[in-house]
Order: sequence, then structure tokens, then C-alpha cells
Amino acid sequence: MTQSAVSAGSGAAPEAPPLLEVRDLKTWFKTEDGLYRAVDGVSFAVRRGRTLAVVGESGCGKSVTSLSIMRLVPEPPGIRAGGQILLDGEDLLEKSQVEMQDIRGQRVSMIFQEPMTSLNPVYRVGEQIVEGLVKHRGMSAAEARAKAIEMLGLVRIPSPESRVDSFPHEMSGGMRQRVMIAMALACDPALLIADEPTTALDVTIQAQILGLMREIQARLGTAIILITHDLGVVAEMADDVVVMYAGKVVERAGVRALFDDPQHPYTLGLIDSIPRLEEKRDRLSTIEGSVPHPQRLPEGCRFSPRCPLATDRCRNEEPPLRQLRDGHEVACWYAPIDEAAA
Amino acid sequence: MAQHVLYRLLLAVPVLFGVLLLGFLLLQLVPGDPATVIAGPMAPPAVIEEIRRELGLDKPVIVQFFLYLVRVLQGDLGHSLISNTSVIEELAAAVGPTVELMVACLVWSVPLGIAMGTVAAVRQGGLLDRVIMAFSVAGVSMPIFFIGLLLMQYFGFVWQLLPFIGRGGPLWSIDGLRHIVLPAVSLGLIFIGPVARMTRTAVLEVLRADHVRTARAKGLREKTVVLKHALRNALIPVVTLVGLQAGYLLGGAVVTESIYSWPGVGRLAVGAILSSDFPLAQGAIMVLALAFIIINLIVDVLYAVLDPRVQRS
Repeated sequence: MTQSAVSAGSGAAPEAPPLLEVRDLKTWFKTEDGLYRAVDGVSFAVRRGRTLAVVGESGCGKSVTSLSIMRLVPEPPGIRAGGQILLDGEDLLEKSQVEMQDIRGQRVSMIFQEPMTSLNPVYRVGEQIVEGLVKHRGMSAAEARAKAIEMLGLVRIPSPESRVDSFPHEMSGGMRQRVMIAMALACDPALLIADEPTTALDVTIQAQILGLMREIQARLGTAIILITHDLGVVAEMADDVVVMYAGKVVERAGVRALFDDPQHPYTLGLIDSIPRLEEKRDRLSTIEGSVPHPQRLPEGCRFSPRCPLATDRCRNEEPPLRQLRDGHEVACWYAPIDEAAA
Repeated sequence: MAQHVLYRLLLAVPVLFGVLLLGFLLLQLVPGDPATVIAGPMAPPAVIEEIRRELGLDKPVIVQFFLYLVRVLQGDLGHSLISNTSVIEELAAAVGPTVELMVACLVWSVPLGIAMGTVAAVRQGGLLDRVIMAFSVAGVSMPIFFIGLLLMQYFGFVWQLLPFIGRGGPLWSIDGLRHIVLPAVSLGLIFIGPVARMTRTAVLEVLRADHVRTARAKGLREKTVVLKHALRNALIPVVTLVGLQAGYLLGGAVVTESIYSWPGVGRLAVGAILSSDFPLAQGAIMVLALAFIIINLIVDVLYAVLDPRVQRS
């Protein structure tokens, strides 16, 4: 399973062990209303210097997956119900919070959806970048400040020497997201997790931020896990894609294979609901219904209540993730689908 | 910033006017006639009438207020009806001890309240949280005179550990310090509860904020996350609360000073009201109102120091 996941995507690079490998991750929440299986058996791998996109609707568990890798899920109510998160072979789920403090910001960094609230409003942005450098790299205040200015320059903030002393409220959303990226990359982590990094931004700023991430990735060789619901972003950024639905992986493929030959009805629905300029349509197509409530998950395939192809088998038996061809896996009884029927 | 302070000072003018007017009207309602006080209980009615005319008490209330206002604007707060000393002198002697008491109270109760609230927030739901919150509720619920009397009874009277009457001299002397302990503790105990509760609420809220998640994602130690990224932000509402509670503190100071015979403005005000010494009572009320305004001004400045977003507006 591991090897097949690794060989997905474009290009047939020699099989180096993946940087990060998530195996059968289960992150649940114990609430007063019962058990909430936010992430329920998710597996994927990220290779060095590559981008893996994790795609799905709100509530599918993609953010909880990323917070689980960072071990930032509050426990309680969170429960590490099973699985492994192997970073260079070390299981992060076995680490103590104190051990994780040396990994976060140094080997794995994260940027978040909301640039407006993700920076502390009472400290200057330079101070917020410096913190990690002092903690992880043991730099002096002056060295760290110089590095912070260098990082602000790297993320294309104009006149970084003066901007380093700005407060977050003196910056626009796009600038703040650049600061977040500068902060995340300051200690040169091997992996950057970007949770909907452009969702809160204007479209033009979105393109700039994505371009910046690609450019920095090329320069520093950082692997990226990109959490998004936007297939446009996926097409632009990703090497490999994992599609999640209701806490499970439903399809996993290289980015070309996913768009050219989507296999899961849910993936098909997602791709179908992208507006296209060349087609004349009065209405966008949508996927009927909504994501099931995590405490009332349907029997069998979790997508079956919304699936146009669902049969009794789907409603009773949960389909496993199985390999269709090299690097392309899908959790559907009816894959490969005859596209004409869909 | 300077502009901001100036603006707040200008706002203080109508506030002071309102306080003077209200104080004046309320004193009219208090039973007791200043002329009778001066003349003594046995004086013939003609003498009392004479004194009343001299003091201008025969004129309509609104005219009396206007005349008083004119004198205040000229810096004349009148003379005490009892001791015949100038009100300004009496007040000047009392302000120092009151400021002393306030500082001595705030200096221990605010930091301790903040520390307790922070610990309670970090240990939310735990035993320590419950103990601290129970203590806060007790502090808020007990009237200050009761706390004062308890402390006085045990620490002063039964165990004879500390003096409990009057002021022992300047704060930098041993005796001065010993005398201020019980009043400062009594006054602080009522203050610590609200501060601890507010801090707990604010820290809990900030701990859920996005930027705290960012701080954790940077790999900072939990101690740094709480003290640097949560507490600093949580102090903004706490400081606001301290400002709002200033009135509470001044009221508490009046009671505390009376219980411990602390020679401050509060005790002066109570004595003056009880003896119908109107000019002195008015003056004391004005000083207390001024104290309220000044505390809030300090809070405003602190607020701008804590929150860089405030400075612009």
C-alpha cells in the first residue's frame, strides 16, 4: 500500500521513502452527544519536495487530519483512536507534547485559513517570526531579526526592513498570509501544511500566494500538504491528490489521473460542479444532499445516500480502498465506472 | 496618544459638573441643618436664622448651587463648618493616605487576581480551578465591612499581629507598612474576585483564538504560549474591568477607611456627611469623583499600551 501511494502522480522518480506517511489515522472526538469520528482510517504519503492536495467539502475531516499531524487536536475531546503518522519513520502519534514542540515549526510547519486572525494582534510581525528562530535555532535577537527580514523579503513583502516592525493590523490579508508563510518557513521545515491558505483571500491575491508557495517550494524543496476544497487550486498546485469524504479517503491518484479519469462518483461530482467558461449552462451541476452528520453516518458506503449509482450493496457494505491501476486507488464497488453512465 | 489623553481630560469637565450638582442636591436631602450645627442645639431661633442668612442658606437651592459653583471655579471650596479650617487644607491632608491605601491595595490584589485567573483558566475544570473560583465568589459576595471586621478581630485583636487603628506614618517606615497591611488586605480581597474571574474568562477565550493555535504550531513551549500569547491579550479586558471597578474600589475605600480609622478622603467624607458639614462633604465627594476620572484615564493609557490597535483611533 505504501509503495503504491508513493508512486502515484506524475513522473516515475526512484522510490525514495516518503517524508511523511499517514497510516490508517483515526482521530475521534468524544462529545456529550456521543462519538464523532472526524477522521476514520485515513492513509496517504507525502514525498519530499512534492505537493499533496487533500480535497473535500467542509466537515469531511481534512482540517482535523492536518491538525492531527501537528498534534494540535485538543485532547480531550480529541482521541487518538489509532493509526500512525510517520515523519521520516518516527511516529508522531507516540510523541509527547514536549517532544512535539521541537518538531512543530522546525520540521513541520502549518499555515491557516484565516490570515486576519492567525497572527497575534499585540505583537509586531517581526517579533512573531523571531520567536521560532530563537526557540529552534538558538539564534540571538539580532541574528533572528536579520533572518526575519530575509524571510519577509523571500515572501515578497516590500521594504521588509521597515515592515518587520509593523503590527498585523497595519497589513492587508494577503500581506498577513505572506507573513504567515515567512513565519512557517523561517526554520526551513521539510513539510509545510497549508490549510485552505487562500480561501479567505481575493482571487488575484490567491494567485499570488499560490505562485509564491510554488516558487518557494522550488527554491527550498519543501514538501506541501495543501488542504483545500477548491479543485482549481488542486489543478494548479498538486502532484498527488487525496479526496476525502466523511472522514474517509474515497480516491487517491496523481493529479493528471484524477482529472482525466476520476473514478469515485463523489470525485466526479466535484469535478462536474466546477464552472467552465466554454460550456453554456444555466445552472451549475451540484451534488445532491449534504455531508452526513458525523454521528449519523450511513451504513455501508458513506456517500451512498447522495450517490446516483448507489445500489443495495453500497447501502450495506462499506467499499474498501482498492487499487485500480498503479497509483490510482478508489473506494467504490463500481469502479472503474463507465463514464457514459455517470 | 497625547491628543487622546487631552480629549479624556476635557470629557472630565462635564462629569465633574454633574458630580458637583448631584452631590449638592443629595446633601439637601440629608436631614440636618448646617446653621443648627454651627449654632449648637441650644441656640435661639433668631441666631440660627442669622447664621442661615450669613451662609446664604435662605436663598433658593439653585442660586445656592450657582454661588457655590462660582466659588469652586475660583478655587475656593469654603471652610469646614465644624473645624473652620479651609476645606482644601483638610482634603490635601487626606488625599495622600487615600492614594497610599489604593496603591497598597492594587499592588497586590491585581497581580494576584490575574495570576489566579490564569491558573484557573489553564486548569479549567480541575480542582485548582474550583478552589480559586470558590474563593473569588466568596470575595465578591462578602461585604467589605465584614471582611474588615474579621481581619481586625483576628489579626489585630486576638493574635495581636498587626495594628488596626489609624496610619503609622509614611509607607517607607516599618510602622507605616505595618499599619497599612490590614486595610490594604481588606480592600484588596473584594477586588481580587472580579479580577480573577475576568482574567479566567478572558484567558479561556484567547486560548481558543486562532493566533494561539499559530503560536503552538510554531512549537513554542506551553508556558510561552500562555504567558506571552494568551495572557498579554487577555489583559486588555482585565484592564478595562479594573477601570470599571474603580467606583467599587473608591466605595470600598470609604468603608475601609472608616473601619480602620484611616485618615483618608473616604473617612473625611463620611464624617462630614454625618455631621452635616456640607462644604467639607462636597469637597470630599469632588475629590473622590476626580480620583475616579484619574483612574479611568490611567486605564485608558494602559489600554493603548497593551493593544496597539487602539493607538490609531
